[in-house]
Amino acid sequence: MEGTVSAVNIASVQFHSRTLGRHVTYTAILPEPRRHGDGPFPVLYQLHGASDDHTAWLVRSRLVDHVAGYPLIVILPDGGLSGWRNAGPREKYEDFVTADLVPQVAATLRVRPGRAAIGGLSMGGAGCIRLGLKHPGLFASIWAHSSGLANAERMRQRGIPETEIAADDPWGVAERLLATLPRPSLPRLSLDCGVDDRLVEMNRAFHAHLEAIGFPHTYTEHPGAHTWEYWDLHVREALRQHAEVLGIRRK
Amino acid sequence: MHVATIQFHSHSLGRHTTYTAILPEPQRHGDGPFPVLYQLHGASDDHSAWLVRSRLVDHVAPYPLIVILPDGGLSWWRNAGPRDKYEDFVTADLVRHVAATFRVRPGRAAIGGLSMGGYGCVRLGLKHPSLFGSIWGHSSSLPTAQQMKQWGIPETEIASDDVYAVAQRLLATGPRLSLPKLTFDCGVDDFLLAENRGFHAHLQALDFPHTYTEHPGAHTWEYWDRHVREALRQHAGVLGIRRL
Repeated sequence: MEGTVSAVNIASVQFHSRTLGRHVTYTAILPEPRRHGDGPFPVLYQLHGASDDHTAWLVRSRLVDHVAGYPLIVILPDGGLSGWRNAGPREKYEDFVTADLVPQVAATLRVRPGRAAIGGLSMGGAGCIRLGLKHPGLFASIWAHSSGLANAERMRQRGIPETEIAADDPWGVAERLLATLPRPSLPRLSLDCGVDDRLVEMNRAFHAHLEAIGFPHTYTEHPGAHTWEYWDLHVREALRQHAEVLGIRRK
Repeated sequence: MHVATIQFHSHSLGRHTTYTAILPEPQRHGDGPFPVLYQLHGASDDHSAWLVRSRLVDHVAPYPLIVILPDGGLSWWRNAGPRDKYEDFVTADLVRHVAATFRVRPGRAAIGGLSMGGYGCVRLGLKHPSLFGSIWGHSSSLPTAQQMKQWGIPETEIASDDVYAVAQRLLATGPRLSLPKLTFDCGVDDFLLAENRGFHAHLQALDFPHTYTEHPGAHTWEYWDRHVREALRQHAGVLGIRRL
């Protein structure tokens, strides 16, 4: 049956997160050794949206097939409903990703040293922007789909404590990074949103803010709404950017 | 999304095996009971293939339907030697285990699949018409008895599993009205196209009621992700369920 074999290499990994104080599960999509060799490989962290879990990108999009051509490890962590933030004492998901998960992945899989890429949708879109812009030493390429980009005022309306708003308002995060990093070392930042998405106004507002402060980025709108059809389509563009920034080529 | 991974002991296989179940969302579809679709993977894949490589979870979400994704190894879903009794596994062990585990509506199920699983669903569906009321094979491997001989399959197994003969036997024994609804499709750039045309011509010659369609495309997940949606519509129609 020549021509039918296109192998898949997926791991479900449980480990103890010190930050969360409990065991968590993540999914890893691994490069096929026969196609891409033994590595080491760069990493993409791909974040799910609110109400989903670490299996969402695996099951609801065709990410496995889209990424198969790239010598890239994709990590799908679980973020609960945290907004990928340090949201209270039991939900320190920013620390979980940046302090526990990144070293765990590096210690477990054949990871190339250096910066990773980060992406996500909805809650995970805001998450990848915030984590990417707060940790430029970890992430070189950011691509956010249909992001839930609440500004400080909206965060306040949701009852988020002032200390957390001060740390996590994406408007402020972008400003602070621009003030501290030389422009050439800024991560590459792209966002997209469907024109029928209920979050399109938030995305336009954040785009306008980035333009106003002179933060280099790309923002695009496409037909579509807050659906897996949309994400399955546009994650392919994100992969192209990540590959370019990470210096890998599609086979 | 409501997905379960189940391990159980199969008597026919003599070992534990894993299957994936895609379950109807209770808030959307209530408590059931629900009819079942058995969806079979192709050669070199496993029970997770339809889950991960297609968007089946989303396509099936509007239907009050349980989808079972079993593991068939490289058996062609046949009783392929003493250790690989996969036909018995599906029709005796799995069907019973699913009915005992989930809120399954009594009555016939639907069966589908791709490539090796296309062959599997056509053959299992036609050999077990009391279990399956709707069959849809994509890009199916449909070898003739002669091809099976060339693959080194024993004569006794060919006698029981040659799908050309299976169709003939069913037509000879069952009343036409109780025949399962049979559909298969294939991409015009698929390397299995000639086998599909050959089987279609055979069914036409037999006057076996069926539908055969060809579409642009090849032996790819892009193709299956698209055309499984048509299969779901047929299964829903035969099973008498409505898309919500």
